[in-house]
Amino acid sequence: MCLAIPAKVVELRDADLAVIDLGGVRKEISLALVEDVRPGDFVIVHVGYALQKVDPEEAEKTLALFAGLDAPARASA
Amino acid sequence: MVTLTVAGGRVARAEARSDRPRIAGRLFDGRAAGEAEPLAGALFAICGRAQSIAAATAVEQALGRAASEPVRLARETRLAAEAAQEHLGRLLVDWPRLAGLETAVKPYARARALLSPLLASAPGATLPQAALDVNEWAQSAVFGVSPADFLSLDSVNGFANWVRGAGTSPASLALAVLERHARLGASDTAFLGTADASMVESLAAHLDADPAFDDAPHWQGQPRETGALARMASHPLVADAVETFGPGLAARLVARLLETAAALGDLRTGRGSRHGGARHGDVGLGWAETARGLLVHRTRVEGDRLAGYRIVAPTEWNFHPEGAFVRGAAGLADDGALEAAAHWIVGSLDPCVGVRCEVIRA
Repeated sequence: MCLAIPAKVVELRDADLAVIDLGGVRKEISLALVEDVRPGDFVIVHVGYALQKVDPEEAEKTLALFAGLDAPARASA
Repeated sequence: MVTLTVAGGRVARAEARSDRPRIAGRLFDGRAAGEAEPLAGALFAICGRAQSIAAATAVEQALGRAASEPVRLARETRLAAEAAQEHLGRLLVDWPRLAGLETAVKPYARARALLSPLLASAPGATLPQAALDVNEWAQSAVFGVSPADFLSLDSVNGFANWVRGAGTSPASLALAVLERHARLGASDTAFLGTADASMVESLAAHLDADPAFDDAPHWQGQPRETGALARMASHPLVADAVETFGPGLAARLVARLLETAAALGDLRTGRGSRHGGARHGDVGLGWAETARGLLVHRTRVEGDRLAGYRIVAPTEWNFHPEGAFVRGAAGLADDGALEAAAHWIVGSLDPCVGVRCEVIRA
């Protein structure tokens, strides 16, 4: 199962692309399936596409929940 | 992670290894029973509605309760919308990319926007306009005919005529699959038909007996393929596609298209039977038929707290160590396009996590 780990958008790029930060790891993804995303927003990413925006408060709660898991569990999500 | 070992110019051994940790117990156990539904909806990146509905149903079963009819109907609407959304993602974006065709990302974004009110359907709400809008969109962007007319196709010949005449991006995808990969990934893996209470109860007994069942589920002594092809096997067009091409890529594509049309039809009529529950001793089970296949949640409720929480996800069926991927990839020729073929088979089984593919040439 794919865990919905909220990723923070750190940079917007041309052609609907953006850079996200997921626990310190940065990755370029597509924003083609979501609207009105700005740097600082949290998104859920699946196979290279942001699928939805997440309310920052909800994102922090979810991140705290996943932080309770051990590293291999998080890495495989 | 899947590994293909090549010897003598062919795949001598295909392996699928689950690197998805069993974490349901750690995430759910000890929480209040009422938290299961929202937590399941928030924890998983895809199929969030199916996850939350399976969780809610499992808890209701464990407590000996049943959802009201308006709640059940709203859940069916959310599941039909989510199934359509996931199928469309493969048909418009992921599979065209595998076929080397242009992806239809913008049409898919439009479909997601049209489905969004239906994905949030509340008990008692009816959304006839939203259902009509997404059906009209699908007629022009996917089927070229009404979803109901597509659903009435009953032979490979009829489907081939549709492929030539529809003029849509999924029709171009279908042409590419029929011409190049129709038989790819076919195997003799038995199908897991649409779930019902008795099937899920028998799975519960296996879960009780085997702590590793979640990683390698089986039914009636065999690994099974779950998903659109398995559920739609008795549809005349799917039966003809299996007869003509075997249960591989073409048959999986046909079944996905038909299920998309069926889900869109269910959104208009408000019908559907994509979820349910069962009870096994003091254990409650909730199941949902998702785009990828059968999803089962299982829990006990001890003094209002969740206990013994487990989830069996569709990916574990299709990537079972002796399941549809492993059998479908065995014997593939190492002809310069092996990696691409492996990615196609993986994609046709639509795992819920990214899968890495490694080829070992002895």
